[in-house]
Amino acid sequence: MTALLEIQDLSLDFETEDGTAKVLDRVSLTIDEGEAFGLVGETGCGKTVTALSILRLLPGTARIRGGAVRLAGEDLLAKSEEEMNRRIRGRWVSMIFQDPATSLNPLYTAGYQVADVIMEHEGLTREEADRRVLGLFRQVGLPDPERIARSYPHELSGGMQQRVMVSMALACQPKLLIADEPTTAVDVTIQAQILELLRGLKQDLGLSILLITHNLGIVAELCDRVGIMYAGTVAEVAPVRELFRAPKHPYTQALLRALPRTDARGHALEAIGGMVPSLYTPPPGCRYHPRCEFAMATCAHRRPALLEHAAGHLTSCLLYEGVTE
Amino acid sequence: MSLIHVQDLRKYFPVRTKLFGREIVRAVDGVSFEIERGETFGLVGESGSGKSTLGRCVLRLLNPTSGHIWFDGVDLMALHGEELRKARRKMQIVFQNPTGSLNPRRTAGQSAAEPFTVHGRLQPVEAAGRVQGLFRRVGLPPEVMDKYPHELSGGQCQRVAIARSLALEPDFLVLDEPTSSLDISVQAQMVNLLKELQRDLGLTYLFITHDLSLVSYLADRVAVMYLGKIVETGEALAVLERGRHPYTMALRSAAPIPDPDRVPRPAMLRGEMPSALRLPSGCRFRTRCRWATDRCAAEEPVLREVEGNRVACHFAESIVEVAA
Repeated sequence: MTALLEIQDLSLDFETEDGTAKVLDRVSLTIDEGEAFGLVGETGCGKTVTALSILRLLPGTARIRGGAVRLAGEDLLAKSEEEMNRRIRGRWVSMIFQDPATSLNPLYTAGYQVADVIMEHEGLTREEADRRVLGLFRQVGLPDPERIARSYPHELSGGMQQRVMVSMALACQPKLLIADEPTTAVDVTIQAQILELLRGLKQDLGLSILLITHNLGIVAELCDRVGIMYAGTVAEVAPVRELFRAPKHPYTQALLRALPRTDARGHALEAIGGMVPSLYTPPPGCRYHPRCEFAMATCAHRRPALLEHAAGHLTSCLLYEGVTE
Repeated sequence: MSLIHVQDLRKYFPVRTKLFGREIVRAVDGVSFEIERGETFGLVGESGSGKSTLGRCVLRLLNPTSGHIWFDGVDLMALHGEELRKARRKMQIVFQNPTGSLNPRRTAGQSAAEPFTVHGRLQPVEAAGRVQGLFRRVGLPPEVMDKYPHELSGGQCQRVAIARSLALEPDFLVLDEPTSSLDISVQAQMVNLLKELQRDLGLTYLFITHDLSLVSYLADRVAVMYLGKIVETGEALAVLERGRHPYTMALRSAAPIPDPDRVPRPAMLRGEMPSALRLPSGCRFRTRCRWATDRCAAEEPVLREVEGNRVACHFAESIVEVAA
């Protein structure tokens, strides 16, 4: 497999009234063709910003400080807005969001909106686009596509709205689908249906998926590899099995132990002490060191590099760099 | 005697629809259960199942349409005005969204002191002293007292809300998705705090959640709700791991498990929960149930004993859970 997407040492700040927030610090990851990659982390860790930087849909306060985002070898950070719109967004990479209700325009029918995307990108007539819409709706498992096409978003359930969003994202046959917490707004039985849909698309179309989530269970169900982010940095990247069986980074280990499980009944959960640091004044050295149970003196001033300490398993932690104090 | 005894509780909401004029939503439709003192009773279900409405009805924050609620032997439905207000000191609720349940214009200390001024008629200075104790109890540093909600993290806000709920030394807390807006590591802190408080203060919890792994970790007994009814209830693990109702099975199969070795199963349930305005005849779950027969459309199943749990399904004994 070859890397479809490669993010290399991406650093990015938000310039706000309160100062400079160091939102991403040397973030690196790759996604292969046909691979589902899970990006996991807690609120504010930078997982959504990382995804938005691929599409260059960052807010105006964002300043890229360094690094590269390459898609099939092309540097996306160097592209013009016009080229991003014409060639990349929708055609190579498309994205679905957490809340499908706010992603759809309430004033137009579902079919009209998806047809709009097709007309815009493919230069088809309304009739041709409408026909394509029905095919897409069928592909994402929407029952009775004709009726759904005529429905307004508020007439559809959350699960159906998300399927409409997926069909829109697939309209121009992208290579990479970014799904940002796609099931957070729906119930668990509907979530299972959406995950099944994504699994099918990956299998049948060879679609690459970047799944952003805080739910490790969802990652286990869908993803081939996982990246764990903490406070704007990548702590660990590993094949999914490896990550659950032999997590290396102390943060990953703590995160897995914090999950409520049946076999932990009667024992306290292992919570991570302290709080996520402010990105305006991130801790020097390793950003996790103030909360890390294994922190050494060096961790407070030397930043660990994301290195391959086992085959295919990258960790950013000085414990694995032979540092002992 | 159980601390909480709910019998045949119903809550119907009148709604206006364009097509049919006035209609009735049966949000909670004939629910009975008991909660023992010191126990955690988990209420599980998806949105629209009626679990939050039920939680509010138990405290009479919503007035039930009919039914009975006994709290420590006292019939809450018979209480009014001042009597009800007094009874409410012993039962409190903590909501899902901690920032939304605190007044943005009041400091955390002021919010937490409110129960004292409303119910206890304490002087502000006295109340402040008590709040300091409560904050220590829930693991908040004293300086948080002077902070406003927007200056606090979600986890801290939830601790303030819990501190406030403990102010009048209640016996019973309704916890309505208290951790679902929190991150995993913060959720773990919050769950530990709730367990600790329960142990130290002898609290009884009604824990409302959609998170099966959470409820299987901390509940003693559970009830699974679907469209206003309890479809299965019993010991937590007996229901969650071996429950016989097809909906319990579907929830179990849909819950994402952080174990990559588990083979992904196709979604077990097709379609979505029907509107509470158009309840299916007979068994409410039958429109999504793969085992439904004519009998399910004709005859509503009642809760009955099956392998130690109470299950509302005509075919609970014969249904075999399929790995498909």
